[in-house]
Amino acid sequence: VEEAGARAEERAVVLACQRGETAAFARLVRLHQDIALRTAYLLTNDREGAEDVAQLAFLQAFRAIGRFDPDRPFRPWLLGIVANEARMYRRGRARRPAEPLNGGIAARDEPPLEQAVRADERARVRAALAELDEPLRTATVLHYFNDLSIEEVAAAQGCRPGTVKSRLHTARQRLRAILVAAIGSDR
Amino acid sequence: MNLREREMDEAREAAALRAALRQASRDAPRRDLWPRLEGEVAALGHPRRARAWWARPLRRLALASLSLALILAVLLGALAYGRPRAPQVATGTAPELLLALRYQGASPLGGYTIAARRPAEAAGVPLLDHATGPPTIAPDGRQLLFVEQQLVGQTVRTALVAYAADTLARQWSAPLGEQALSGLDERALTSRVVVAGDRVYAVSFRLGLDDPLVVRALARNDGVPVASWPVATDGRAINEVNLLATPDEQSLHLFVRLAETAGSAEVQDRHVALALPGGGQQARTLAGDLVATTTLYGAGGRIAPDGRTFYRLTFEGRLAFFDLARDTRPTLLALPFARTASGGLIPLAQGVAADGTRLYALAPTLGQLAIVDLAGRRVERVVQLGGAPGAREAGPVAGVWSVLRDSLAPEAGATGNFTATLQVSPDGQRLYAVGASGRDSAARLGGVWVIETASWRIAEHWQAAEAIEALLLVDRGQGLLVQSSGRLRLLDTTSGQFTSELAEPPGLTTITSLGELYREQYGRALRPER
Repeated sequence: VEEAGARAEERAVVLACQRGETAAFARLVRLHQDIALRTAYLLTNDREGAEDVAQLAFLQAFRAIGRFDPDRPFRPWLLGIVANEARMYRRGRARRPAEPLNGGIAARDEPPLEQAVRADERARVRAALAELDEPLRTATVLHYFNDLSIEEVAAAQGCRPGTVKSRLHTARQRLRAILVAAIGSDR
Repeated sequence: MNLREREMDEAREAAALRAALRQASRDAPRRDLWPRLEGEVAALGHPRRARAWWARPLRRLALASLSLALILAVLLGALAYGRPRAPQVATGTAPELLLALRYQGASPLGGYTIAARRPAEAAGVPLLDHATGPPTIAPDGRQLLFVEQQLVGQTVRTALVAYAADTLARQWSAPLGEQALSGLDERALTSRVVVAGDRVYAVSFRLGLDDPLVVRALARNDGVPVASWPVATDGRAINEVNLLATPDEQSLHLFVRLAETAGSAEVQDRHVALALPGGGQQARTLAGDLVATTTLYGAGGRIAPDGRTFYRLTFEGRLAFFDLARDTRPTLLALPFARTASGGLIPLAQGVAADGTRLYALAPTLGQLAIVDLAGRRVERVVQLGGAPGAREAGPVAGVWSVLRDSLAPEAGATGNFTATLQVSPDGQRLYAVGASGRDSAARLGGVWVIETASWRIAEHWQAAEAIEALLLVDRGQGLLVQSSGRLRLLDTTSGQFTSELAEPPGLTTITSLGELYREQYGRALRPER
């Protein structure tokens, strides 16, 4: 019931945006900005870039909202735009070097050493992700992080579901290899 | 490692990956973006309000002209197509043959090894090592066309390979293109293949590139090229292509999604009708949002026996219809189930009647089935299936066993999307589907439902100890092949008892039959050969 209520509310907000109510769009931004920023960060491995990407994605969404079907969930659509903006950003920056492994920000509720270890692990995962080719990285983040279905990822990437499955399979293989190699080089 | 262990490993790896990504995203910036966006959104204004003073009358004039043109077009269209036409659809004939596909994850080429076998035979015949997927079956059922990749040095060669469906003899191979192995992941050459009359038609593209788009015609008997028809793309990048032939085999329909540049969010969809055998083209740009036009490309889209209705049941339970003669955008029709479990996705299975005129969509967790009249492009009705699941297990002992088994058996969760095919008996009197027990979010998929189409009730519920992954009718409807947890068993559709177990190829990804491929591709039944 709660989910149905939330969907109905989201539909009303989208319809209001389509009527040009910027306050309604502000609500959509505030509802989805956290996931948009996190997704953009995973896709760009760049904190500043993530903000730019998320901001551009929301602007694109506002421009295109007139063509959006309000009966569909907003989040997968927005995340598809985020993924596209992230791709454009990375191209524009010609593969700007990934953040250094110690570039992560640690949680404040942990002892310093654990903070450092965990921040290092998180940065390592992001670095591994950055090593993937763009379609593989996007499919991985949208499916495994954003929980989009194979079909939703296929719609976002403009390809067939079978292609997404194959990309996810390859991405897992590569991530495994990259992370194993990274851990091995530490020993 | 068997299939089940491999799946468990993959599930564990996926869970670990999810957790790692969640952790890795924790360092993302946390900021309220709205203060920065507000000014820019205000500057953009609303498209409907931000037009210049002269734009509105000009737009009205354009709309009036367009409406007039549309009315004329509809009138002309009605004159040309208004009378119902008897479908000129020949049904194919082919032997009962199973195709086992095994994904080649360890190979740099990926793809599938494919083996064929008759249901009663223990051993299969290996056909190909690196097919890109299941084959295209010819409308007469006599020929199978695979797209195969071969690695020669660092070059991947893609070819179309024809097999005779009855003898499984390799007939010919024709090159489709080649590319460097390094570009395979991102820009793999993708091909769409259809058969019409005495020709095979193929179109190949690489995702996101502005390669020329060419429909090539090959002779069916020897694979020799006989024609080549370039399709205008205006130098744009190709994002997706679909190619279909009408059931009368008199025309081809090509959908192509073009982007201004590779990766551009602004895309344009085009529909090109090609008259056969000359290849004369009629192209038009489609309207509508991305959600609607995307339905033109996904798997499972096909042309109804009337020859003019493209349709596809989307994963979220909406039916897309596109009139090939006059539509400029697909129409999306929501299946009007009486209620939905959570307002979101519901498990759904689909099947078509033998003559292809009706589509059945089953929502097992709701116990409802929608019957769609494809020529009329409307939902005929939604029936609430009668008959209590498990009713056959009468008596207290059977009841207790059923409850115990329900709680112990590893059944598939019913909350996700479910795309298993609904199997339709050759006489059309029975539907076989993976059933469900429980309701709403507590519902779990399990067992086989036998639905009688005369009464629309669940006549039988055959329980299974494992989660069923796929059902396939074989042996002229006398047997039901049940794929579950790494096992492939044959169920007698008369007694509801498992009669034998087939040796499953190690690492089997999927199993299909020529009959199932035919239904998937043409939306009607293949006549099995005696």
